Amino acid sequence: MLCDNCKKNQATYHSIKKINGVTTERHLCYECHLKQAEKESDFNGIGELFSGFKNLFGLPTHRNVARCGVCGTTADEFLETGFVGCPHCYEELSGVIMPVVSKVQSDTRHTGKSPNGKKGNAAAEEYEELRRQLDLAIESERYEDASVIRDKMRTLRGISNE
Amino acid sequence: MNKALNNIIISSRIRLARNIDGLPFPEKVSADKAALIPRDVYAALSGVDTYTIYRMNEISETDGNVLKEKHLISEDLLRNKDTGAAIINESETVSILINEEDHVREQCILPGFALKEAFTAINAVDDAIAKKVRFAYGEKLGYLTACPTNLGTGMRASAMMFLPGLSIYNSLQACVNAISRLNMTIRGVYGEGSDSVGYIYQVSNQKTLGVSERQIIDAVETSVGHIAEAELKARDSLKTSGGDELKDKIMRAYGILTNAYKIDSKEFMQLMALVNLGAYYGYIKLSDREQFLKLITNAQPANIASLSNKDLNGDERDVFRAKYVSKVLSTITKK
Repeated sequence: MLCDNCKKNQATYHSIKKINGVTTERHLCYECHLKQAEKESDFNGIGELFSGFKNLFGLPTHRNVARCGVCGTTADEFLETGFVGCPHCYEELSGVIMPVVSKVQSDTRHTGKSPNGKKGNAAAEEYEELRRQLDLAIESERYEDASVIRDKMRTLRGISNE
Repeated sequence: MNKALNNIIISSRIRLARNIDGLPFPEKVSADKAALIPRDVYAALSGVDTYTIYRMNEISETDGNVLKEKHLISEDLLRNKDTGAAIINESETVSILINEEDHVREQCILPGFALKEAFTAINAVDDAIAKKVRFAYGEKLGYLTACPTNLGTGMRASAMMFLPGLSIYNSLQACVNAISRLNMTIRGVYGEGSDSVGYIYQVSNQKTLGVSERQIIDAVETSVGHIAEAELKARDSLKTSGGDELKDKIMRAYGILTNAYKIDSKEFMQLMALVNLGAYYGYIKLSDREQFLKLITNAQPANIASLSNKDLNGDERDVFRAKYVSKVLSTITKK
C-alpha cells in the first residue's frame, strides 16, 4: 500500500481511529508520518488554548484576506463569525472553510436528500451500508476487512485508492 | 414502556435549513430581496394546508413572544424586525421561519415520540416549497447553509424530554458525555445552560453532513431511548429512596398549584414538574396529558398575558396565572 500523503513510498504507518462514531484511516510512509507528527504537535501546543477561535480549527492566526468574489465575505470574517456570506463562499474560500467543515462535521460529503425530493441516490445508500459494515468490522477488530471496506467507500466517493 | 415514554418525551421536532439559490445568505442579502422570500414561500404552500403569515415588523411584542413560547419561532427571528417572517399552519405543527439564520427554516413539532412522523410531514412541506423555489444545493455539500454546522441535510432532529430523575440524581452530565460520543447534544429548554427549570431538556443531533435523514432520525431515536431508560431507572430509585417525603413534596406541589392565589412562572414550572412526576407514580390521576402539556405553554408569561386579554402588570399576571392553572388542573387531574 502506498503512502496516503506522498503517494510514492510504501506506507509503514497505519492507523484507524474512531472518534464520535466517525472512522478515519491513515496509511503513511516513515517520512510523511514524521512530518505529520511534527505538524500535529505544533497545533497541540499550549498556545492553542489561548489564541481564540481561529485555532479552535487549527488554522493560522495571521490575517487572512482571501475574499469571496461573489459576496465579498473575507476568510477572516468567516473565521470570526463562523458564518459564510453566500453559497459561493464554500468554493471561493474552500481553503479556509473546508477544514472547518471537516472538523465540525467529521465528513465532507452529503449523502441525504436532494431538492427534487428524492432521497439519497443508490450510491449514497450503498455508501451507508458500507459505513455500517465498517463500524462492525472495527468493533470486532477485523482491521483487514475494515481496510477493504474503507477502500470501497473511497472509490464510491471518487477518491483514489492508491 | 410506551406509557412511560409518554411521560418522558414531551415532543419531537424536525427542522430543515434551506436557502434560496442565487441570493446571499440573510446576513448579507439586501432587504429588498429578503422581503420577497416570505411571499414566494407562502405562495408555494397554498393548497397544501392553511397557513398564516406573521411578519415580525407587524406583530405585537406579546404576540411574538406567544409564538416563541410555543416554540414556533425563535428569539433570532423575533429580533429581525426588518425582514423576518413566520408561516404557520392552522394546527401549529408546522412553522416556516423566513430570514432567520438561513432564508428558510422549515420545522414540524409533534407531541410525544414521533420523529419519523414529523419528518414525513416536514419533508412534504420541503418538497412543496422546492417545486416553486430553487434551493441552494451542491452535490458534494448538499443543502448550503449560512453556518457549516448545518450543511448537508440541514436537518436537526430533536426530542424534548422531561428528566426529573436524572436531574435530581445529577446524572445528566454522564448522559451528556455518553450521547456526545454519538454526535448528539443535550440542553435545557427553559432557563440557561444545563440547569433547566422544570427538568425539561432537548436532545438533538449535531452532525448534519455525511449522514442521511434516516440515519439522523435513527441515531436520535437510539439516544433518546437510552436516556429514557436511564430516566426510568432513576425514577424507580427516586421513589424507593424518597418514600413518603417525596410523595409529600409532590402532593404539596399539587396543593399549591390548585389553591394558590398568585404564582410566578418559575415556581409554576418547578411545581408542575413535581405534579408531572406524581402523575407518573400514580399519586395524581391525570385524565388528559395533552391539556397538561398545553398548560405548560399557556402559563408562560406572554401566553398568560394573551389569554387574559388584558394589559396586566407582573403581579396581576401572577394572580391570573394561579387562577387559570388551578382551573385547568382541577378539570384534568384528581388525587
